Amino acid sequence: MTSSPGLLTRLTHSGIALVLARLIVGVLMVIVSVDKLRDPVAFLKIVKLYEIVPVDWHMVLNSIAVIVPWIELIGGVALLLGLGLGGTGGVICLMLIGFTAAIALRTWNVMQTAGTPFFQVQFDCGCGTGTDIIWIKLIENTGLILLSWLIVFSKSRFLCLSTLLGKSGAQQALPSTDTH
Amino acid sequence: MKAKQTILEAVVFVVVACVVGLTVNAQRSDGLQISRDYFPPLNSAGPPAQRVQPPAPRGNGPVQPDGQVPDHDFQTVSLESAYDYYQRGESSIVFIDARDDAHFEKCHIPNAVQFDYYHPDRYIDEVRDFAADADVVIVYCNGGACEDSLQTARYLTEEIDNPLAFETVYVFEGGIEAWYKAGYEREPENCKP
Repeated sequence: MTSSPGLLTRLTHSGIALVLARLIVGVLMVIVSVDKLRDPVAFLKIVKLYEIVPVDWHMVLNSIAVIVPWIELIGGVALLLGLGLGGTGGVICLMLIGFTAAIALRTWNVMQTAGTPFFQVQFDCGCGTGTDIIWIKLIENTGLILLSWLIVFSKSRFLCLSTLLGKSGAQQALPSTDTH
Repeated sequence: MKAKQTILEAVVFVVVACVVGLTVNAQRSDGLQISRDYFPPLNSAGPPAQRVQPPAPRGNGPVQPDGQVPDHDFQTVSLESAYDYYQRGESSIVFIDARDDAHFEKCHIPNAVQFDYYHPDRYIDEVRDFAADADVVIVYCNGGACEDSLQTARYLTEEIDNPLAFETVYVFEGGIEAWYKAGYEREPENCKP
């Protein structure tokens, strides 16, 4: 006798979990891109503050400030439409991991220089949401990383434009595992 | 097969984003110049800046607790001295506001001339006209960790073709925030920066 799949498994196989993940990550990506696109100079200053690249590498610094908001906007739209989920989700996942690491490092620097306790550190992380309480932001970003991980590795292509367009290798939803 | 497809999707996505981003940026009047060094060193030599805790910004503005004013070679002026210059009302004393349109229009020191360091072409002619005969120029921005006033002073006196030959250039590090907190005159009247 085979046990019926749990709720989480059925949720994943139905494609609903993927749709929810795409909605959450996609909408957030679009939202955070808007402020950066509206004011590229402000985003450039924040990128410089993170010291991701040496300030001498000004062309790289400027390019990051110009291109990253478009990765967020185009990626967000692609997730919402269900296009190229594996690659788009992968790039967004890597970007989120990089951002989160940069935020964590900057938090550490603030704690060292200003002596601020971890749970009291606040700053504008350049996430398009103004000043953030950083420990909450780190938890949020970890959640987004997990959701984008789900997007990359989910086999479902439920409600995906790529499926409607008839791309090969897509499946609408996994077959039911119910053996009754 | 799926890994190859995923990698291909990722490459296409990044390439499209790069092309679109750089193309749109080039068309924008407020876009960044990719080749421009916006943050050159401000002093010729010397040890790195010591980390100094900047004054806490007022209100709900972004908090940048790790920002710092970089080392520089410019003379600075205190809030009291800056106000003293302002009160003299002489045409040979000019205040330059090194912030963008939105911040300048919201609140600035009366009779200050604007110069957005990140889009210099739009403002350089007015600054030249306004400050051609100035003996004393005082450059300011938001204050705190803002270095736009320093970069503006450097740009106007060193970087541009035909640098402006002011007799004395001061950087007012306290910025509009300190000016506001002191309750000094502002334009528009009683504005908050």
